[in-house]
Amino acid sequence: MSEPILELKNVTKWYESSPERHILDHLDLTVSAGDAFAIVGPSGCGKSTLLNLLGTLDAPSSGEVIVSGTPTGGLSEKRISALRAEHFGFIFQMHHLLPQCTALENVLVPTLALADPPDKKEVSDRARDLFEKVGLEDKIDSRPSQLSGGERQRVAVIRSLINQPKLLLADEPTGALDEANAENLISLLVDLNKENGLSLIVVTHDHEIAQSLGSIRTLRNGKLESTS
Amino acid sequence: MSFWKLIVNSLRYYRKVNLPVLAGVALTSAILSGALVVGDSVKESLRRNSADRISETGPALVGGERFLTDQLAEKIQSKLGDEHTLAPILQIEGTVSSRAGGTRANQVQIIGVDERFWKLSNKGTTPDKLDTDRWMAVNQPLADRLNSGIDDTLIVRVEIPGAISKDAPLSGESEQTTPFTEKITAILSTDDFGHYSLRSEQIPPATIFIPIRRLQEILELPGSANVFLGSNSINEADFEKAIEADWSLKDIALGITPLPEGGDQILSGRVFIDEKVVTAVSKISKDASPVLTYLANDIGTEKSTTPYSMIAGTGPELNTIIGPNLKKDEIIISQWLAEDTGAVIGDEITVAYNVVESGRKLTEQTTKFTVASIAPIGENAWDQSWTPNFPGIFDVEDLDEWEPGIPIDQDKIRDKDELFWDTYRATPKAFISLEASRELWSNRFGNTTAIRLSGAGDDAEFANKLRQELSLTDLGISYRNLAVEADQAVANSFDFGQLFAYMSFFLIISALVLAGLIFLFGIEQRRNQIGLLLALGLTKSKVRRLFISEALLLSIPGSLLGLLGGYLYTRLALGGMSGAWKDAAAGIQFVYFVRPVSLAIAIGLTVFFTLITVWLASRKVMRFHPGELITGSSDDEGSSGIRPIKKSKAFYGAIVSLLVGIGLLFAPKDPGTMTEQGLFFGVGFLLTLAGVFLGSLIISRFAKPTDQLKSLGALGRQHTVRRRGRSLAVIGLMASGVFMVTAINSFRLDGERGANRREAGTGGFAYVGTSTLPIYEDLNGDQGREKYGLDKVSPKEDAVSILPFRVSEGDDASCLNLNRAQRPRLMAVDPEKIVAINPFGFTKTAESDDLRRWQMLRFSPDEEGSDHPVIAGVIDQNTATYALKIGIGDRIAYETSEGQKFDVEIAAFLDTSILQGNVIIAEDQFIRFFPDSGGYRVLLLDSPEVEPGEKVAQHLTRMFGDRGLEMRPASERLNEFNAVQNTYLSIFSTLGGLGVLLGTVGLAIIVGRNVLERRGQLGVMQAMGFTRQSLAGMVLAEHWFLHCAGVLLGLLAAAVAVYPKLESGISSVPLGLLGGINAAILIGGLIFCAVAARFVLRGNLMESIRRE
Repeated sequence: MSEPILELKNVTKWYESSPERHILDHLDLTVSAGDAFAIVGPSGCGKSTLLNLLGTLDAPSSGEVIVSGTPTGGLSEKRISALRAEHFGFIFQMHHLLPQCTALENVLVPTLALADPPDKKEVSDRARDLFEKVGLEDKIDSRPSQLSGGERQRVAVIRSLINQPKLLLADEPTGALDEANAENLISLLVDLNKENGLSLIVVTHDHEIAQSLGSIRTLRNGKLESTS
Repeated sequence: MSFWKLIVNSLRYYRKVNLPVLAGVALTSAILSGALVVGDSVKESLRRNSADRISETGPALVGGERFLTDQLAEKIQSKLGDEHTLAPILQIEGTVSSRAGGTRANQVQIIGVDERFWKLSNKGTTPDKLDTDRWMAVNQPLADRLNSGIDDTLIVRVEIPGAISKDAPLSGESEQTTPFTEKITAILSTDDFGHYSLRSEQIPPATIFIPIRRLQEILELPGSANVFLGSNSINEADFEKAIEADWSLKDIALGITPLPEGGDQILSGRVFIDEKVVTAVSKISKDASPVLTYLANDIGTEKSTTPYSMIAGTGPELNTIIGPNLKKDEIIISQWLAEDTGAVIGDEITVAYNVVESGRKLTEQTTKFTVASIAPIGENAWDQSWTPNFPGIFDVEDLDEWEPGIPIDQDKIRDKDELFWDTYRATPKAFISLEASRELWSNRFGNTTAIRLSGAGDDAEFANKLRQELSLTDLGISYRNLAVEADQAVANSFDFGQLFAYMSFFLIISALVLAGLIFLFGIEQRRNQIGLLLALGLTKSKVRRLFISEALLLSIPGSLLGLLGGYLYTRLALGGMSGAWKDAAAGIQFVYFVRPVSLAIAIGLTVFFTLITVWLASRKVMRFHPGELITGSSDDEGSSGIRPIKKSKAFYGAIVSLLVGIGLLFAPKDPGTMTEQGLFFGVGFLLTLAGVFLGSLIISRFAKPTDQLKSLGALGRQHTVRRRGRSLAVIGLMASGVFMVTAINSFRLDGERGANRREAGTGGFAYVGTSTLPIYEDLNGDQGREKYGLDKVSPKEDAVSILPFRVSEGDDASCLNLNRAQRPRLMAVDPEKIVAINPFGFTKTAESDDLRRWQMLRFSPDEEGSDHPVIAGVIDQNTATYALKIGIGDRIAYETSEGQKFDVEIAAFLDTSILQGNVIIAEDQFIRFFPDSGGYRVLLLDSPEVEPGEKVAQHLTRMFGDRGLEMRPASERLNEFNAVQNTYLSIFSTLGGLGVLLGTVGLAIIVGRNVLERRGQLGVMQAMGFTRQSLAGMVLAEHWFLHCAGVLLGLLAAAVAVYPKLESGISSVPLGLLGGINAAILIGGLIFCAVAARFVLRGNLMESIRRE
C-alpha cells in the first residue's frame, strides 16, 4: 500500500478569541492517492478551516498534519511552503487571478514557488496542453478582465495543476459560477481524478456537486462523518 | 513566467497606485537632495568667500604688534626668486568717518600696501588709479557702510603704535589718535583683493588701502611692516627657512650701541628687552650684563627729597660703578643726589616709584636703601647710556615737557632739576643691584632695559649668532599658512546640509509616510494575491521580495525625478537665506553648487528609506495566514469589545504616560543642555501618548451598543472603531506634528525679555561697548572718571559701573561666523569683579560652593602630562558644542605673544549670552600670556536705572569716538545672536509646517482608503435612501473628528511642555506665526478630507454592492 498523501492525526483547532469552542475536535483523516471526496456541513462548521489545515495554510492548535510522511509541526515556513508548492493545488471560490498577468502567466505563477525551477519550455507546453484540455487554448494571452467568470475559474484550475500536485483542494470552487459553468468545472475535476489519479477534496455546501464526487464527508461538531 | 516578469506586470498594472508612490519617493528624494545640496552650496560659497579673502596668498608671517623691516621682505624675495611674490604690508585698525555724510565706521582695517600686494589678488595686477604715489582705496563693505563713493573724502583715525604697550609703565601718553584725510580713489572688488582679511570669518571686514609708505609716515614707522604675505606658489617650509635665516636685529627692534668706555650695549626699540632675547644673548656672550633702569618719583632722606630720577640696576660685571659686594638693600648715589638730599654713606634713603596695575592704575610704592657709596656723575662711565629711550622722556628739551605716561607733579620740579636735565639728561642718579631692581620693577613687559657686552661685533655678525639661539616665533611673531587655514575653516564649517536635512525631518517623514501609506494600501488591495501566492507555495520572504522589488524599481526613477525637485528646494532655501532667513548666514553671496556624491547619497537614502517603509508596511499584511488573506477575513481589525474603563490597558497607559510626563516636566534639569531638550521632547511624547491612549478609550466608547442611533455623524464616528489602529495613528501623527512645530518655537529667544536679570543673556548689563582701539584707563576709578568727565554725567550715587574685558586677536567663534574658528578669540576679565556681579546664566559649572560659575576662572587645571601651562576658561555652550565641538575639560591650544604654547581648559559653559563666540579667561592670566596687548576693547555697562545708563553710554560714545567705541544696548547685541537661532527655528517651522501639511495629504489618502473599503456599505445606505451628501457628511464626521483631535492634542501637549519656558520669561512664542501654521494645518486637513471624501464617493455606489 502506498504512503498516504496527507494525514490528520488527532487535530483540534480553536481560536484564541474563543478557546472553549473547538472548530475541529480531535479529528483524524487520511488521504491517499486517487481519493476524492467532498466535505459538506452547515455554514460556520469549520469547512474552510479544515481545508486550510489540509493545505498547510494554517496550523492546528493541537494534533498533527503529515504531508507525504512528513509531519509539518515545527517545520520552517520555508519548508512548509515548499511542501505546499510540491504536493498541493488550490482552487478557491474566487479565482484570485492576478489582474496584471495574462491567463498563461497566471497559470505559470506557481512554478515560481518550486525550489528547483522546472524547464521553462516544458511547463509552458504543459500549461498549453491544460488550456487545450479545458477548452481555453484561444484565451492563453487574455487578461482576467477579458475572461468570463467560468473561464477565469477554469484558468484557476489550470493554475492549480501546473506543478502536477498530488492533491487538489477546492474551497467552494463553484460558488461564484452559474449552473452550467459549475457543472463543467466539477466534471473537469472528476475527470482529473479519474484519469490522472489526482486526489481531490472539495469543500462545498452544494449536495449535487458533493454527490458527483462519489464520496461525502460531513463536518459536524468538529468531527468528520462519512455519509456515503 | 519569471519573477521579473511578474514584477514588471504588477508595476504596469498598478500604475495608478504606483504613481502617487512615485510622487512620494520623488518628494523624499527632492527634500534629501535639496538639503544636501544646500550644504554643498553653502560650503562652496564659504570656500569662494575664503578664496576671495586670501586670493593667491599662501604662507604668511604675522608680526601682530611687532614690526619687521621691509628690507627683510626684499631679502626674502630675492632668495625665493621672481616667480614668487612676497608682499610686506602694514596692517592696523582704525575708525573712519565720511566728511560729507557724517557716517562713521569702527573696526576698519587700515592697510598699507604696494604693488606687490596686488600681485596676490585674483587679477594679479594693480587696480586702476592705484599706481600713483597718493591714493586711497576702500572695499565695497566700507563704501556701503559709509555710503560713500569715488572722490568722497574720508577722515581716518589711527593710533600710533607705541614702542611698548600703553599698559606698560613709562609707555608715554595714551589715547593719542592721529587723523588723516584722503579722497577715495577706487572701490575695490573681491577680484582686486578687496576682501583681504587674516580672520577666518565670512563677513568681509571694512577695509582701507593706502600706499604703505604713506601709512609708515603716518604711524612714524618708516620702513616697517607687520605682515608678510607670500604667494601660494611658495613652499611653506622654504618661506620659514628663508626668513629665519635672514632676519636682522632691526626686525626684532634691537640695536647695538658702542659704549664710550668700550664694549657694546644692546637696547630695544620696545624699551624692555624680551626675556627670551636676554637668555639668548646670555648664551652667546658669557659676560652679558643686564640692566634695568626705572623712574623713581622721589628719592629722599628725612632732610630732603629729589623728584623724578632714574635709578639703574645692574650687576658688577662690565662696570666699575657697582662693586661685587653691593647688597640688595644698598644704593650707590651720585654726588649730585648726595648733595641734594644731604645723604651720606650709611644713611637710609627712601625711593618712591609707581607700579602700574591693570587698567593703568598707578600705585606708588616705597623702598628703603642704605647708601653704600657716593660717586660723581661722568666718571666710571656714569652717564646717560644707562637709561633706555623711554617714550616721552628721552627726547624732550625740558623737564616740564615730560610725558612719561604717569602723572608728573610740575610743582615738584625745581630749577636745579631743570639744570640737571640740561646737563645730564636722563642719566641715573643712583645705582642699585640688578636683583633689587628686578624685584621692584619687573613687570609683564620685561625685566631688562639694556644688556651690556664686552664686545658684540657688528650687527650682522651678532644677528647671525642670535639667530642660532632665537626664532621669530619666540617673540610672538607667527608663521601661518592662510591657504591651509582657509581650507580648514571651510572644511570644518557649520554643516548647513545636515541642518537642512534635520530641519526637513518632518517633511521627509511625511513624504515617506505618504509613500508608505499609498504603498501599504496598494498592498492591502492585493491581499488576496498575497494569500494566493503564499498558498501556491511562495515563501513569505519571496512574496515580500516581490513587493520590495517593485518598490525598488519605483524608488530609483522616483529618486532621480526627485533631483529636479531638489534643485528647486535648494534654490528656494538659498533664496531664503539671502532674504528672509539672512540672519542664519550673514555676509555670504550664495552660489548653487552640487557635488555628485550628495546626489548619490540622496538617491541611496531615498531608496533605503523607501524600502524600509515598504518592508514595514508589507510586514503588517504578512502577519496573516494565506487563508485569511484569500478570504478577506484579515480585513477587519474589528473591535475587541468594550471593557470597563478600569479594565482597559489604555486607561492605565494614559494614567502612567500622563504622570510620568508631568513628572518630567517638573524634573530638575540643566538649562540649555541636551538633557533639558531630551526631557522637553520626552514630556511632549508622553503627553501625546497619554492623549492617544485617551483617544483609544473614547473611540472604544463609540462601539458601545446603543438602542438608537443619534445621527449620521455619530454613525461616522463609530467607524473609527473599525480601524482603531489607523484612527489612533492619525491622531498620534497629527498631534506629534503639531507638537513639534508649536513647541519648537518655544526655543525662540528674545533678548529684551528679562534683560535686566543677572542670569539673562545680557548678564543684566544695560549696554555693551566695543572699541576699535583699546581703552586703557579704569573708568570706574576716580582718576578715569574724572579724566573723562564721567563724574559729572554719572554721580557716584547713580552707581553706573563698567566691567572691562581685554580682547586678544582671534576669530569670532559665535554662530555669526559660519567658518570653523581657527583661533577662538580670548576675552579676559578680572575674576574678582565678575564674581562680585555674578552675571549670565551657566548651563554647566562645578557644583562645589567654593568654585562655581565665574569662580571657575580661578580653577587650576591639572597640568600633569602637559609640557606647557594650562589655565581655566569659560565659553558659551552653543559655541563649544556646535562651532568648536568641544566639551567641559577639553582644551584649546593657544600661543602667547612670545610664542609660548598654553592651553585653555574649558571649565564651565555659559548659556547664550552677549559673550558668545569668545573664550573667557582671567585677566591676570591674559596679561601673563599677552603682556604686549594693552587696554580694554569690550566694556559692559551696568546700570540699575535706565536713564543714567543711557547718559553714560552716550557720553562714552562721544568721549571715545575717536577710538571707535560703540555702545549698544546689550539686548540688541544679544538679539543679533538670538536672530541666528530664531532664524533656524523659522526655517524649521516653515519646513516642519510643510511636513505636517503634507501629513494632512496622508490623512486625505486614509479618508479615501477608508471610504473605498466600505463603498459597498455606503452603496447599501444609498439604497436605503441616504443622499450622497449625507453620506459624505458621515464620512467627514469620522475623519474631521480624528484630525481635530490630533491637532488639539498636539496643541495641548505643546502648551503644557512649553509652559515652564514661558514662565521663565526668556522665551517668547510667536503666536502669529504659530497661529498661521496651525490654522493652515487644521484647515488644510479639513479641506483635504472633504476633497478626498467627495472624490471617492463619486460614481455608482450601488455597483459596489454587486461587486461585493
